[in-house]
Amino acid sequence: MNTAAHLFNERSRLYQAVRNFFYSKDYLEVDTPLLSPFLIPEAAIEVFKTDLIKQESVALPLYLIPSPELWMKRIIADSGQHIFQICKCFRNSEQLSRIHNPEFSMLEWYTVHADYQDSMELTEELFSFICDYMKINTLISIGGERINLKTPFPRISMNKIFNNILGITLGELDDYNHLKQSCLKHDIKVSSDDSWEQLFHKLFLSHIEPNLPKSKPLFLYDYPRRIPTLAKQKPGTAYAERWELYIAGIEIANCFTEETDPENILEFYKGEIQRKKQSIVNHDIDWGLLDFFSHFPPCSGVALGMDRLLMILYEITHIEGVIFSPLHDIVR
Amino acid sequence: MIKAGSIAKGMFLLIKGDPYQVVEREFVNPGKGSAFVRLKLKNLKTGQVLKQVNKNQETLEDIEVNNKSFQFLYADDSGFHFMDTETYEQIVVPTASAEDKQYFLKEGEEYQLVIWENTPIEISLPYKMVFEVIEAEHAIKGDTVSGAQKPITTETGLQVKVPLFIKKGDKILINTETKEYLERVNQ
Repeated sequence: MNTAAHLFNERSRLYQAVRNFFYSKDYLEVDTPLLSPFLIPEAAIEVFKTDLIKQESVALPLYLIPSPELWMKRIIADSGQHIFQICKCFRNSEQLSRIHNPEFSMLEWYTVHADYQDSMELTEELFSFICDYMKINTLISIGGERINLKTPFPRISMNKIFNNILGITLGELDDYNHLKQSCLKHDIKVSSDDSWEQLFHKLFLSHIEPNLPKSKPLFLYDYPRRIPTLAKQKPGTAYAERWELYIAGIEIANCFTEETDPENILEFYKGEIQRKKQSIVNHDIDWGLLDFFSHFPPCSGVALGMDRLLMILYEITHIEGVIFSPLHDIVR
Repeated sequence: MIKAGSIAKGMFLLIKGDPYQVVEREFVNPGKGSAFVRLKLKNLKTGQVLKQVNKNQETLEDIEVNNKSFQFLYADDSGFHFMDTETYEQIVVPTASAEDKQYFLKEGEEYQLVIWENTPIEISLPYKMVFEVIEAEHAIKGDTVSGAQKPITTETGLQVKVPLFIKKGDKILINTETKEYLERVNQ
């Protein structure tokens, strides 16, 4: 994509396709604040902070949302409807890279009375719709990889991929010491302050992610329950009802069967607040969200990176190639 | 010490007593996880490549090195022989650590060596270097496909693909990192 006009033409066609798809399925398009006085605590994310000025002094600290989740969940509790939104999200301190710009475009949708399996099917339908609408050849080539975007997409559980590649089960890794031993056995640098999540991701990023099959988009599902998220736990297992869609080795979308039990959500909050003490920017906590779960329908939410999707559809290896005036141009 | 998140390509690190150079660095932020950096490192003693994943906050040991000018004399089984252009002292860079550099070394030319604790650990090549073509096939007549290329050999034994108009005796500019042809040098 070499000119601004060309860039916006392709982006606009993608947005049209996405909107048409969700309109045809009776999803309500919503528009929620990007500036928020509080956020859901997420220890892994640094946020952007600013101030509301009133009568020449600071009246209220405000934060740019790293995800529209807190507002969209309020709308679901209120309306009980399927909803979607395309909006900007902001994540601070993620280093600029070929797949990261601090400001990025997210498609987020929630389907009520549905779980993560239903969302896999809907995501496949969305991809078929987009390719048809935009007349995109489903055979693409990106960064030397040839990929077929034709649905259905293969699905593989986290447990299976660990078993296939490293010969270990996730059940075994649920125990911190077992995980640590596995890391040491596979030449992973272990630090004394590594959390379970950090050790797991070191193992995953060293041995699993680089070896994920790439000939088709891939649903990697049933993530370990010990990675703290707002995904519903699979009762009696070491897993959470969560998937990531990988295309060309890049995470394109993340999905949960949403946790709706206020007690579990409070537990998640407490853990994240504790871990967040090491963050550079601290923010006010969205405690109000907890009240909405007393009347919250079962639902599944998907967050999909629109810039990354554009990269895939147009065979572009760097996010700078699909963003108008990326920060990469200024910050080196 | 340096935080993994601040490491850049080309830096030098000390791991288990061996000097390493950072060949590749990529930041990874799993959607629901901490911030990590993926490093590809080259052991400057053995030439072996090490891949590792660190948390951005983790510290690694960086080493202080300095560059010094040396004249390349010759290569033999023990390695690459250089002479300090100030003291005339001779030193050897072992082949294992610099095997990929052999096709860029021209006898009698000056190079920058990276010195750590009085030991040369790396031959630092300029980004672009000029070489002479000593072997080149004649272009096949009628082969006018634009962008068509043919293989040539330089005086150092380096084989690269070049446009068809390049002939034996031409001087060409080569990117030392990618080993790719850049342009013909006017003589």
